[in-house]
Amino acid sequence: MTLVKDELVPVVQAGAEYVFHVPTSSFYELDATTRDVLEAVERLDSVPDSQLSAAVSGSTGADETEVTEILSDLVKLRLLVPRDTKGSADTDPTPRGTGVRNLTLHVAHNCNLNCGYCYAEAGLYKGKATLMSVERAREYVDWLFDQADPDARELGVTFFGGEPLLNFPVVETTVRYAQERAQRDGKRVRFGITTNGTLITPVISDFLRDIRATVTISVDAKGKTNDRLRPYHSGRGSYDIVMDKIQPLLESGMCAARVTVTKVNLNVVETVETLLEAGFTEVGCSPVDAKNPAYDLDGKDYAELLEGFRVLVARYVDEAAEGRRYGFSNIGNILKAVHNGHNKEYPCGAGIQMVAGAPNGNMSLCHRFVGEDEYVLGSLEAGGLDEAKRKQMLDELALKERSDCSKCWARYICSGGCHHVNFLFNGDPQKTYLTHCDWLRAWYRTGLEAYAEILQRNPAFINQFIDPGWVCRN
Amino acid sequence: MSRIKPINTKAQKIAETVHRDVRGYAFSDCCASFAPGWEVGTGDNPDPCPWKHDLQLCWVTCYWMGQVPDTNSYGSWLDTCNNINDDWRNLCTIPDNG
Repeated sequence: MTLVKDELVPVVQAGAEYVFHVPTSSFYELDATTRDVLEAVERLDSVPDSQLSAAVSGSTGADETEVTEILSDLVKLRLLVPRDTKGSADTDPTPRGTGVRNLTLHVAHNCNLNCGYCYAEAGLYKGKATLMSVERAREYVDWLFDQADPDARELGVTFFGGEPLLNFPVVETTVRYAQERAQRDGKRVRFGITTNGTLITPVISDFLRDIRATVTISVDAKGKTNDRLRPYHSGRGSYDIVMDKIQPLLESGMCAARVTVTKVNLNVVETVETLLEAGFTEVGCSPVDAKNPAYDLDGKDYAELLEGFRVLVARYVDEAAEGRRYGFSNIGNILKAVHNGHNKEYPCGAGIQMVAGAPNGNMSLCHRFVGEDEYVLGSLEAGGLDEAKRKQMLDELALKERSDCSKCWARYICSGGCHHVNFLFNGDPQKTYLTHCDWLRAWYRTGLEAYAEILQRNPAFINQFIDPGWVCRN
Repeated sequence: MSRIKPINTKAQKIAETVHRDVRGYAFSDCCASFAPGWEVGTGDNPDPCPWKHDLQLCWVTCYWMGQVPDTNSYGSWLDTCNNINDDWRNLCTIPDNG
């Protein structure tokens, strides 16, 4: 038998050496001798394991007994493996075949803003402007609770659009109905809403606060840059109006911002700083996927975006060293993935524990696939999800089916990327959109380095803010 | 494992698993050959475990090295199992103190 180095990503941070083990997403700190041993094993490619200790000792100058012990530990941790098992993954179990726990309700297929990059074409999703009826929304809630696993203690409903607050009466009625149903079924239900913020009133603010909703405001930059990207249909800008309307929610500390990054607003450092100063608890940035060269980022833009992200990560790490949490949520999410050893067959819960419900009663893979007939997984009229179609789609979307990703060290973190981005650019959610990949690998590496640096400077931060048990108290 | 430090949760889980060493001790394979197994016992017969009897018999005489622990290094290995009904899991692993 010949032992070989398994797929490892070396990371150096402030003079310390680390390796990230790709098949398990485990992360180790090594001393210099262990690093030398690993490198020697790679050089001594075909030495049988019975002669390996002596050969490595000869190659590195390290004591053979010591080398034997290190090799034994490396084998136990699967960092050295028999050649024919290299790359054998240990992915986290996917909760397939279980009930849906999160339902995204498209309560309004219409929007009062006219963002040029919108994948839903101003919220219409290839259809006519439609508001979901109260009866339809109740049917969805009943379906969610009826099909839920008995052991699912908490279910989630997210109100989405278009602009969901164009249909606030239905949002309000649906929340009350879901709360009653949850009480009857002995479950909890939590709510989220993604809104452009322009229609928020004091009454709506009080309501969202009362139901402890997770509120995500779409806002792309400060002032005129945001206005250029997020105008009303009349062309008028929305920034000042939004910031005025959401003030009570900002003061309550219950708003996160979602920034869509385009060619127009690449200065993410300024945007994140501005929005955090304005009172958002978290700001997350996501590159646009518009299939429109006026907005989509090219290689140079991705390099600039990464540079901006790294500045924000440095701030996050400095704050973490002082025991404070900086609200740049992109790095927070990566740190959680690194901490938990995120190693998944699917990039998200689409079709697994989450589906989206359209006003016409059709249920889709996720909110972004609403309006695409091929990705309808079922309907209220048909009594719910078509389980055969759901299974087939999930089988096809699994990472192991993607040859594009088979050599990438980040594949179990990214899991092939967003199904909808792949669909938008390649016409098929199974075909990985490779334009993102260099950027994503560089970003994940930044996450590994940040995790190592925080552990060096203030390890208590990880247990306090990154460990899964931590819950935001805002 | 002082030279390699697991730093994330996944690495710690893997390290904890390997820390419970099973050197020279393929007990689960051995168990499979004994029937009916302790778990079919009833309250009337609280210690029906055929393992215990067979294990103690074969401890010294068993031809299959894999069935017995390294008794030189782990002379007190059976001490972890004071009550076979409650402590049987301890039989399948030996703490790696090395």
